[in-house]
Amino acid sequence: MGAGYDQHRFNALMLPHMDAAYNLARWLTNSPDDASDVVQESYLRAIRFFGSYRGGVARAWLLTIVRNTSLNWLTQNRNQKTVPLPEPDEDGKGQEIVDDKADLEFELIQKEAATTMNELIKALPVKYREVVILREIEELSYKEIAEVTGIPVGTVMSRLARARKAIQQHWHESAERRISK
Amino acid sequence: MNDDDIERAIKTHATRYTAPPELYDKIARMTAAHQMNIVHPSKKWLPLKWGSTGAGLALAACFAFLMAVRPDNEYLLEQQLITSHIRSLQDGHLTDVISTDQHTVKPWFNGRLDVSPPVTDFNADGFPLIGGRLDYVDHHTVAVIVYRYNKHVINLFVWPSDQSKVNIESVTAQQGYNMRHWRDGDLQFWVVSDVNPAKLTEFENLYRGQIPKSK
Repeated sequence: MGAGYDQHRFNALMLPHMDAAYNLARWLTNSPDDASDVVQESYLRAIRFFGSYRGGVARAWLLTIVRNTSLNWLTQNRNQKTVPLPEPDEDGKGQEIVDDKADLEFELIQKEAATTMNELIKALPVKYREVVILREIEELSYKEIAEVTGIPVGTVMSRLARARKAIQQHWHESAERRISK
Repeated sequence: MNDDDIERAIKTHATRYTAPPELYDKIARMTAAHQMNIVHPSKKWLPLKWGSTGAGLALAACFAFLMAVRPDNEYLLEQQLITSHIRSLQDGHLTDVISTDQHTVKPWFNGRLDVSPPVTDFNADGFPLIGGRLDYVDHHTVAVIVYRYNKHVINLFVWPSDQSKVNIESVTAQQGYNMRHWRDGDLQFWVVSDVNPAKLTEFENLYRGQIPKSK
Protein backbone atom coordinates (compact mmCIF):
# COMPACT_ATOMS: atom_id res chain seq x y z
CA MET A 1 0.00 0.00 0.00
CA GLY A 2 2.34 2.67 -1.26
CA ALA A 3 -0.05 5.52 -0.56
CA GLY A 4 -0.75 4.40 2.96
CA TYR A 5 0.77 3.46 6.19
CA ASP A 6 3.71 1.20 6.47
CA GLN A 7 4.73 0.60 10.03
CA HIS A 8 8.42 0.10 9.34
CA ARG A 9 8.70 3.15 7.17
CA PHE A 10 6.68 5.18 9.64
CA ASN A 11 8.76 4.03 12.61
CA ALA A 12 12.04 4.67 10.83
CA LEU A 13 11.00 8.18 9.83
CA MET A 14 8.92 9.37 12.76
CA LEU A 15 9.95 7.60 15.97
CA PRO A 16 13.42 9.23 16.08
CA HIS A 17 11.71 12.61 16.48
CA MET A 18 9.70 11.77 19.55
CA ASP A 19 11.94 13.83 21.82
CA ALA A 20 11.51 16.85 19.57
CA ALA A 21 7.77 16.22 19.52
CA TYR A 22 7.64 15.94 23.28
CA ASN A 23 9.84 18.97 23.80
CA LEU A 24 7.58 21.16 21.67
CA ALA A 25 4.40 19.83 23.26
CA ARG A 26 5.90 20.22 26.72
CA TRP A 27 6.81 23.84 26.05
CA LEU A 28 3.48 24.69 24.49
CA THR A 29 1.25 22.99 27.06
CA ASN A 30 3.45 23.69 30.11
CA SER A 31 2.58 20.31 31.53
CA PRO A 32 4.28 16.91 31.35
CA ASP A 33 0.97 15.04 31.39
CA ASP A 34 -0.62 17.16 28.71
CA ALA A 35 2.53 16.89 26.64
CA SER A 36 2.36 13.09 26.75
CA ASP A 37 -1.28 13.14 25.70
CA VAL A 38 -0.60 15.60 22.92
CA VAL A 39 2.33 13.57 21.60
CA GLN A 40 0.28 10.40 21.63
CA GLU A 41 -2.55 12.07 19.81
CA SER A 42 -0.10 13.62 17.36
CA TYR A 43 1.38 10.24 16.48
CA LEU A 44 -2.10 8.86 16.01
CA ARG A 45 -2.84 11.66 13.58
CA ALA A 46 0.54 11.19 11.95
CA ILE A 47 -0.29 7.53 11.32
CA ARG A 48 -3.60 8.48 9.76
CA PHE A 49 -2.16 11.27 7.64
CA PHE A 50 0.98 9.38 6.72
CA GLY A 51 -0.38 8.86 3.22
CA SER A 52 -0.07 12.62 2.70
CA TYR A 53 3.59 12.72 3.74
CA ARG A 54 5.51 13.51 0.57
CA GLY A 55 9.05 13.04 1.76
CA GLY A 56 10.93 16.09 2.92
CA VAL A 57 11.99 16.79 6.46
CA ALA A 58 10.18 14.25 8.61
CA ARG A 59 10.82 16.21 11.78
CA ALA A 60 9.18 19.35 10.39
CA TRP A 61 6.24 17.31 9.13
CA LEU A 62 5.74 15.70 12.53
CA LEU A 63 6.25 18.96 14.43
CA THR A 64 3.54 20.59 12.31
CA ILE A 65 1.10 18.02 13.61
CA VAL A 66 2.39 18.34 17.18
CA ARG A 67 2.15 22.11 17.02
CA ASN A 68 -1.42 22.06 15.74
CA THR A 69 -2.46 19.40 18.22
CA SER A 70 -0.90 21.40 21.05
CA LEU A 71 -2.72 24.58 20.04
CA ASN A 72 -6.00 22.66 19.73
CA TRP A 73 -5.33 21.24 23.14
CA LEU A 74 -4.77 24.68 24.58
CA THR A 75 -7.95 26.12 23.16
CA GLN A 76 -10.06 23.12 24.05
CA ASN A 77 -8.76 21.93 27.36
CA ARG A 78 -7.77 24.94 29.29
CA ASN A 79 -7.28 28.64 29.19
CA GLN A 80 -3.70 29.36 28.44
CA LYS A 81 -1.95 30.71 31.46
CA THR A 82 0.80 33.01 30.34
CA VAL A 83 2.42 34.92 33.10
CA PRO A 84 3.40 38.45 32.20
CA LEU A 85 7.13 38.97 32.01
CA PRO A 86 8.46 40.14 35.38
CA GLU A 87 8.62 43.90 35.76
CA PRO A 88 12.15 45.19 35.22
CA ASP A 89 12.19 47.68 38.11
CA GLU A 90 11.61 45.34 40.98
CA ASP A 91 15.24 45.51 41.97
CA GLY A 92 15.41 41.83 42.60
CA LYS A 93 12.88 41.83 45.41
CA GLY A 94 11.11 38.53 45.48
CA GLN A 95 13.11 37.35 42.52
CA GLU A 96 15.80 35.41 44.36
CA ILE A 97 15.53 31.74 43.80
CA VAL A 98 18.88 30.67 45.14
CA ASP A 99 20.16 30.48 48.73
CA ASP A 100 22.91 32.93 49.62
CA LYS A 101 25.14 30.22 50.91
CA ALA A 102 24.93 28.23 47.71
CA ASP A 103 25.70 31.26 45.61
CA LEU A 104 29.24 30.28 44.81
CA GLU A 105 28.47 26.81 43.63
CA PHE A 106 28.83 26.81 39.89
CA GLU A 107 26.28 24.09 39.45
CA LEU A 108 23.66 25.96 41.36
CA ILE A 109 24.30 29.08 39.37
CA GLN A 110 23.80 27.07 36.23
CA LYS A 111 20.65 25.65 37.70
CA GLU A 112 19.35 29.06 38.55
CA ALA A 113 20.21 30.27 35.10
CA ALA A 114 18.22 27.40 33.63
CA THR A 115 15.30 28.13 35.93
CA THR A 116 15.37 31.79 34.99
CA MET A 117 15.65 31.08 31.28
CA ASN A 118 12.84 28.53 31.39
CA GLU A 119 10.62 30.97 33.24
CA LEU A 120 11.33 33.71 30.75
CA ILE A 121 10.46 31.51 27.79
CA LYS A 122 7.43 30.12 29.56
CA ALA A 123 6.17 33.64 30.13
CA LEU A 124 6.15 34.43 26.43
CA PRO A 125 2.81 34.28 24.64
CA VAL A 126 2.49 31.06 22.66
CA LYS A 127 3.04 32.66 19.26
CA TYR A 128 6.44 33.90 20.38
CA ARG A 129 7.25 30.85 22.45
CA GLU A 130 6.76 28.43 19.59
CA VAL A 131 9.25 30.22 17.31
CA VAL A 132 11.83 30.37 20.10
CA ILE A 133 11.53 26.64 20.80
CA LEU A 134 11.59 25.68 17.13
CA ARG A 135 14.55 27.90 16.38
CA GLU A 136 16.78 27.85 19.44
CA ILE A 137 16.12 24.38 20.80
CA GLU A 138 15.03 22.39 17.76
CA GLU A 139 17.26 24.42 15.45
CA LEU A 140 14.84 24.42 12.56
CA SER A 141 15.52 26.77 9.67
CA TYR A 142 13.30 29.85 9.23
CA LYS A 143 11.73 28.17 6.26
CA GLU A 144 10.94 25.05 8.26
CA ILE A 145 9.48 27.12 11.09
CA ALA A 146 7.28 28.90 8.56
CA GLU A 147 6.16 25.50 7.31
CA VAL A 148 5.42 24.15 10.78
CA THR A 149 3.55 27.21 12.02
CA GLY A 150 1.94 28.24 8.76
CA ILE A 151 3.12 31.82 9.17
CA PRO A 152 5.27 33.69 6.63
CA VAL A 153 9.05 33.62 6.99
CA GLY A 154 9.13 37.39 7.58
CA THR A 155 6.73 37.06 10.47
CA VAL A 156 8.74 34.17 11.88
CA MET A 157 11.82 36.38 11.87
CA SER A 158 10.15 39.38 13.41
CA ARG A 159 8.51 37.29 16.12
CA LEU A 160 11.80 35.66 16.87
CA ALA A 161 13.50 39.05 17.10
CA ARG A 162 10.86 40.38 19.48
CA ALA A 163 10.99 37.26 21.61
CA ARG A 164 14.77 37.38 21.83
CA LYS A 165 14.63 41.00 22.77
CA ALA A 166 12.12 40.38 25.56
CA ILE A 167 14.17 37.49 26.87
CA GLN A 168 17.40 39.41 26.54
CA GLN A 169 16.16 42.35 28.57
CA HIS A 170 15.00 40.27 31.49
CA TRP A 171 17.88 37.87 31.23
CA HIS A 172 20.31 40.74 31.45
CA GLU A 173 18.59 42.13 34.53
CA SER A 174 18.46 38.81 36.28
CA ALA A 175 22.14 38.25 35.48
CA GLU A 176 22.97 41.59 37.09
CA ARG A 177 21.04 40.61 40.15
CA ARG A 178 22.92 37.35 40.34
CA ILE A 179 26.23 39.13 40.11
CA SER A 180 25.39 41.96 42.51
CA LYS A 181 24.28 39.63 45.28
CA MET B 1 24.81 41.87 25.09
CA ASN B 2 23.99 41.25 21.44
CA ASP B 3 21.75 38.88 19.53
CA ASP B 4 24.30 36.09 19.36
CA ASP B 5 24.80 36.16 23.11
CA ILE B 6 21.13 35.81 23.91
CA GLU B 7 20.85 33.05 21.32
CA ARG B 8 23.68 31.23 23.01
CA ALA B 9 22.16 31.85 26.43
CA ILE B 10 18.83 30.40 25.31
CA LYS B 11 20.48 27.38 23.73
CA THR B 12 22.61 26.79 26.80
CA HIS B 13 20.06 27.28 29.52
CA ALA B 14 16.61 26.46 28.14
CA THR B 15 15.57 22.91 28.96
CA ARG B 16 15.28 20.41 26.15
CA TYR B 17 12.67 18.01 27.42
CA THR B 18 12.85 14.39 26.41
CA ALA B 19 9.98 11.96 25.96
CA PRO B 20 9.46 9.65 28.94
CA PRO B 21 10.36 6.01 28.11
CA GLU B 22 6.83 4.80 28.84
CA LEU B 23 5.47 7.22 26.26
CA TYR B 24 7.92 5.87 23.73
CA ASP B 25 6.78 2.32 24.44
CA LYS B 26 3.14 3.27 24.22
CA ILE B 27 3.56 4.94 20.86
CA ALA B 28 5.73 2.14 19.48
CA ARG B 29 2.95 -0.28 20.39
CA MET B 30 0.44 2.02 18.77
CA THR B 31 2.27 2.15 15.45
CA ALA B 32 2.51 -1.63 15.45
CA ALA B 33 -1.19 -2.05 16.19
CA HIS B 34 -2.11 0.16 13.27
CA GLN B 35 -0.16 -1.97 10.86
CA MET B 36 -2.66 -4.72 11.45
CA ASN B 37 -5.80 -2.64 11.25
CA ILE B 38 -5.42 0.03 8.67
CA VAL B 39 -5.59 -0.10 4.95
CA HIS B 40 -5.66 3.12 3.03
CA PRO B 41 -7.32 2.48 -0.28
CA SER B 42 -7.53 5.20 -2.84
CA LYS B 43 -10.39 4.59 -5.19
CA LYS B 44 -8.68 6.10 -8.20
CA TRP B 45 -5.32 4.67 -7.54
CA LEU B 46 -6.23 1.05 -6.97
CA PRO B 47 -7.56 0.02 -10.37
CA LEU B 48 -4.97 2.06 -12.26
CA LYS B 49 -1.94 0.67 -10.60
CA TRP B 50 -2.94 -2.78 -9.58
CA GLY B 51 -5.18 -3.31 -12.55
CA SER B 52 -2.39 -3.38 -15.09
CA THR B 53 -1.79 -7.09 -14.76
CA GLY B 54 -4.02 -10.07 -14.27
CA ALA B 55 -2.70 -10.69 -10.81
CA GLY B 56 -3.16 -7.04 -10.07
CA LEU B 57 -6.76 -7.24 -11.16
CA ALA B 58 -7.41 -10.16 -8.88
CA LEU B 59 -5.77 -8.29 -6.03
CA ALA B 60 -7.77 -5.17 -6.77
CA ALA B 61 -10.94 -7.22 -6.80
CA CYS B 62 -10.00 -8.61 -3.40
CA PHE B 63 -9.48 -5.16 -1.97
CA ALA B 64 -12.62 -3.84 -3.58
CA PHE B 65 -14.53 -6.65 -1.94
CA LEU B 66 -13.03 -5.88 1.45
CA MET B 67 -13.76 -2.20 1.01
CA ALA B 68 -17.35 -2.84 0.05
CA VAL B 69 -17.87 -4.93 3.15
CA ARG B 70 -16.50 -2.31 5.49
CA PRO B 71 -15.56 1.18 4.41
CA ASP B 72 -12.30 2.24 5.92
CA ASN B 73 -13.52 5.54 7.38
CA GLU B 74 -16.50 4.08 9.08
CA TYR B 75 -14.45 1.26 10.49
CA LEU B 76 -11.88 3.68 11.89
CA LEU B 77 -14.59 5.83 13.35
CA GLU B 78 -16.21 2.88 15.06
CA GLN B 79 -12.83 1.86 16.47
CA GLN B 80 -12.35 5.32 17.89
CA LEU B 81 -15.79 5.32 19.44
CA ILE B 82 -15.24 1.94 21.03
CA THR B 83 -11.86 3.04 22.32
CA SER B 84 -13.44 6.13 23.79
CA HIS B 85 -16.22 4.04 25.30
CA ILE B 86 -13.74 1.63 26.88
CA ARG B 87 -11.63 4.49 28.19
CA SER B 88 -14.73 6.06 29.69
CA LEU B 89 -15.26 2.93 31.77
CA GLN B 90 -11.99 3.45 33.57
CA ASP B 91 -12.03 5.39 36.81
CA GLY B 92 -12.42 9.10 36.45
CA HIS B 93 -12.82 9.13 32.70
CA LEU B 94 -16.56 8.80 32.38
CA THR B 95 -17.72 12.36 32.89
CA ASP B 96 -16.31 15.86 33.06
CA VAL B 97 -19.53 17.12 34.53
CA ILE B 98 -21.49 14.79 36.77
CA SER B 99 -25.11 15.60 37.04
CA THR B 100 -28.42 13.90 36.69
CA ASP B 101 -29.93 17.29 35.94
CA GLN B 102 -30.31 17.99 32.24
CA HIS B 103 -30.32 21.71 33.02
CA THR B 104 -26.78 21.39 34.32
CA VAL B 105 -25.42 19.14 31.61
CA LYS B 106 -26.80 20.98 28.59
CA PRO B 107 -25.42 24.43 29.48
CA TRP B 108 -22.11 22.81 30.36
CA PHE B 109 -21.60 21.97 26.70
CA ASN B 110 -22.36 25.53 25.64
CA GLY B 111 -19.21 27.52 25.22
CA ARG B 112 -17.17 24.35 25.02
CA LEU B 113 -18.51 23.25 21.68
CA ASP B 114 -20.10 24.58 18.52
CA VAL B 115 -23.01 22.26 19.02
CA SER B 116 -25.58 22.16 21.71
CA PRO B 117 -26.90 18.63 21.86
CA PRO B 118 -30.30 17.92 23.34
CA VAL B 119 -29.99 16.54 26.85
CA THR B 120 -32.88 14.89 28.63
CA ASP B 121 -32.97 12.62 31.64
CA PHE B 122 -34.78 9.35 30.91
CA ASN B 123 -34.68 8.08 34.47
CA ALA B 124 -38.38 7.25 34.39
CA ASP B 125 -37.73 4.97 31.43
CA GLY B 126 -34.78 3.25 33.04
CA PHE B 127 -32.04 5.31 31.41
CA PRO B 128 -30.87 7.83 34.01
CA LEU B 129 -28.63 10.69 32.88
CA ILE B 130 -25.18 10.49 34.48
CA GLY B 131 -23.39 13.49 33.02
CA GLY B 132 -21.36 14.70 30.08
CA ARG B 133 -17.83 15.01 28.82
CA LEU B 134 -15.86 16.16 25.82
CA ASP B 135 -13.97 13.73 23.65
CA TYR B 136 -12.00 13.87 20.44
CA VAL B 137 -13.26 11.70 17.60
CA ASP B 138 -12.76 11.86 13.85
CA HIS B 139 -10.97 15.22 14.02
CA HIS B 140 -13.78 16.76 16.02
CA THR B 141 -14.23 17.65 19.61
CA VAL B 142 -17.45 15.92 20.36
CA ALA B 143 -20.06 16.05 23.07
CA VAL B 144 -20.60 12.84 24.96
CA ILE B 145 -23.76 12.48 26.98
CA VAL B 146 -23.54 9.65 29.44
CA TYR B 147 -26.49 7.51 30.45
CA ARG B 148 -26.85 4.31 32.34
CA TYR B 149 -29.08 1.30 31.97
CA ASN B 150 -28.88 -0.84 35.11
CA LYS B 151 -25.14 -1.27 35.46
CA HIS B 152 -24.37 -0.59 31.83
CA VAL B 153 -22.87 2.66 30.69
CA ILE B 154 -24.29 4.19 27.53
CA ASN B 155 -22.16 6.78 25.77
CA LEU B 156 -23.93 9.01 23.29
CA PHE B 157 -21.54 10.90 21.00
CA VAL B 158 -22.81 14.00 19.23
CA TRP B 159 -21.13 16.26 16.70
CA PRO B 160 -22.04 18.21 13.58
CA SER B 161 -22.72 15.91 10.66
CA ASP B 162 -20.45 16.06 7.70
CA GLN B 163 -22.77 16.23 4.71
CA SER B 164 -20.09 15.00 2.36
CA LYS B 165 -20.03 11.63 4.03
CA VAL B 166 -22.49 8.88 3.37
CA ASN B 167 -25.58 9.28 5.40
CA ILE B 168 -26.53 5.92 6.75
CA GLU B 169 -28.29 4.69 9.79
CA SER B 170 -26.58 1.64 11.08
CA VAL B 171 -26.40 -0.92 13.76
CA THR B 172 -23.13 -2.62 14.38
CA ALA B 173 -21.63 -4.93 16.91
CA GLN B 174 -17.93 -5.01 17.56
CA GLN B 175 -15.81 -6.46 20.28
CA GLY B 176 -18.89 -7.14 22.36
CA TYR B 177 -20.22 -3.59 22.06
CA ASN B 178 -23.31 -2.52 20.22
CA MET B 179 -23.53 0.73 18.34
CA ARG B 180 -26.24 2.69 16.68
CA HIS B 181 -25.81 5.62 14.41
CA TRP B 182 -28.25 8.20 13.11
CA ARG B 183 -28.53 11.79 12.04
CA ASP B 184 -30.97 14.53 12.92
CA GLY B 185 -30.72 17.88 11.24
CA ASP B 186 -27.17 19.14 11.46
CA LEU B 187 -26.09 16.65 14.07
CA GLN B 188 -24.92 13.09 13.97
CA PHE B 189 -25.27 10.69 16.82
CA TRP B 190 -23.44 7.53 17.75
CA VAL B 191 -24.41 5.52 20.74
CA VAL B 192 -22.14 2.85 22.16
CA SER B 193 -22.86 0.41 24.94
CA ASP B 194 -22.73 -3.20 25.98
CA VAL B 195 -26.51 -3.32 26.52
CA ASN B 196 -28.31 -5.59 24.08
CA PRO B 197 -29.30 -4.22 20.67
CA ALA B 198 -33.01 -4.15 21.52
CA LYS B 199 -32.38 -1.94 24.57
CA LEU B 200 -30.12 0.28 22.54
CA THR B 201 -32.87 0.75 19.97
CA GLU B 202 -35.27 1.56 22.77
CA PHE B 203 -32.84 4.18 24.01
CA GLU B 204 -32.45 5.61 20.51
CA ASN B 205 -36.22 5.90 20.10
CA LEU B 206 -36.54 7.64 23.46
CA TYR B 207 -33.78 10.05 22.65
CA ARG B 208 -34.94 10.80 19.14
CA GLY B 209 -38.47 11.28 20.41
CA GLN B 210 -37.38 14.17 22.63
CA ILE B 211 -35.49 16.14 20.05
CA PRO B 212 -38.32 18.26 18.63
CA LYS B 213 -39.46 19.26 22.10
CA SER B 214 -36.11 20.45 23.36
CA LYS B 215 -35.21 22.49 20.25
